[in-house]
Amino acid sequence: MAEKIKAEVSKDLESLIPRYLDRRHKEIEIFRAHLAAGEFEALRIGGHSLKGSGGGYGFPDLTRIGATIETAAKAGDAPVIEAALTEYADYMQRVEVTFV
Amino acid sequence: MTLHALVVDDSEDFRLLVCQYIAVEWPDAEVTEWDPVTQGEIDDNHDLAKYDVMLLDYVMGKADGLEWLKRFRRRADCPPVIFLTGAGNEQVAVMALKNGAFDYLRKHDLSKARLVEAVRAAMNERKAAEITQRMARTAALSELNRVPEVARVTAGDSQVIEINGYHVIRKIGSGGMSTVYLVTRIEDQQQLVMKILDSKLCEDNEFLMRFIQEYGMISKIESRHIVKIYDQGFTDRHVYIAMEYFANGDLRARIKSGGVTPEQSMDLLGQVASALQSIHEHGIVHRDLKPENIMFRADDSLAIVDFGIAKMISDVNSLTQTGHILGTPYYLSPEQAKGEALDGRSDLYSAGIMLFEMLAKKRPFTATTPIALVNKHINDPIPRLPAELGRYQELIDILMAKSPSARFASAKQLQEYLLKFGK
Repeated sequence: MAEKIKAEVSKDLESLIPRYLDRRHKEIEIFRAHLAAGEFEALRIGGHSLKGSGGGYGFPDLTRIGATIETAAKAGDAPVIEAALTEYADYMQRVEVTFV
Repeated sequence: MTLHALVVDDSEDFRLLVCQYIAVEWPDAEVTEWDPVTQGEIDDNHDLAKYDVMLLDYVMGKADGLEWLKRFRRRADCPPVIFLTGAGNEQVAVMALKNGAFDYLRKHDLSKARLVEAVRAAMNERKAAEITQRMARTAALSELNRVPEVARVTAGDSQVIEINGYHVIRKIGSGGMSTVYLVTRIEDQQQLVMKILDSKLCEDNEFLMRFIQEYGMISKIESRHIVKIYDQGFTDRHVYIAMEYFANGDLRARIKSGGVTPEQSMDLLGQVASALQSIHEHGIVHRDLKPENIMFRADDSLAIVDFGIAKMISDVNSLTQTGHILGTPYYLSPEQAKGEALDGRSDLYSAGIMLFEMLAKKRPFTATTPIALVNKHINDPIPRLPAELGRYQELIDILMAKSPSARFASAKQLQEYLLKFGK
């Protein structure tokens, strides 16, 4: 079993987190669909949004992954996006939230 | 005051995050979310005056937040705008500030503390701007009626001061920024002191900010040695703070009467140290500690008053220009005199001057001009107490040390010293 990735999240956000994480799981599939369709503009916007929200919620890795997707989408770099999506999916499988 | 905020961001997740933090801090807040992608632009018919603060994202789909900011800032009803930027967008943040943003926040490391601090500052800014506008309107009306309020207030006619819920008894005094009245709160007949900002200064946002901040700062502090604030507000004609009334006068009067013994001086210093510890823990330097600002209650406990020039230690956006001295020169610390950065140790120096004055019945430094006095704080050796007070010299030497690093590191350390001294 893969090692868990610990994320410390503010207690103030406890009620928002289940929904936020659920949306991230769904987003991975949406991003994959965009990539398959070559919809880089949609990926740029989605990556930018992920970059903006991740760190604020307590998931700085998501900000980093979002930035990678945004930058790669601007360049139309499908392999980098593919790798980022793999990391995104892996992160979502392994992340374990602690409220502080 | 209920907070009304507008959050303009194309990320629903981020809007929710902001709404949540605001709701935790201000449960009554009303937050309007705006998604530029689905709702389009905010047009000129949208009333912005109803918001105390706007949080505006930079990249919103294809929309450019900087362009929106420029457009909003041309409008008279635009509230303070906190610009939201992503990682690595510091240059954008600078451009936003140049284009009139009140502040900026980095989205990727947003925390509740950062958000609340920025929003609170924006609310203060909004409030100050509102008061300025109201005062300007009133001043214009007064001019038309040829009975300018300033003249009526400075004439000392307490009857022209009308604040709902209070009855003005008499004028107590006036300082550089305000006039002080003894009032009765009608609902419970409690006597309070009402400090009313000088009308001329109400036209000046900087002074209004300082006045409002005074209330904000003191209200945060729970200490019996800090003046209790009961109310703060503004009418069309006045900006005011209602605070505790001190029946037993100030320390200046006691020193003048010669009735403070060395033992009492040390006790008073202990109470002052307790007050300073409380305010310094809140990041506030008083900056104007002097006997006139030490007041006594009917039970003879003391409290520090007049935070008019107090300043948050962390406030890098100085309310006073570099080198501009606001403190009373007799109690000014050397670093204050030089216009350098201050921390709580500056107040400890002022406390040392007060202690010297209580013990020796005279001020340690006097001069014929303010400049000469300032130079003495910076350069002159610490005066010696009379021989019979020699046991207090070490304490005076520490408190009045020219270098802050040679003083107590904190008011708490001073209290510990006093405890040992008393044993």
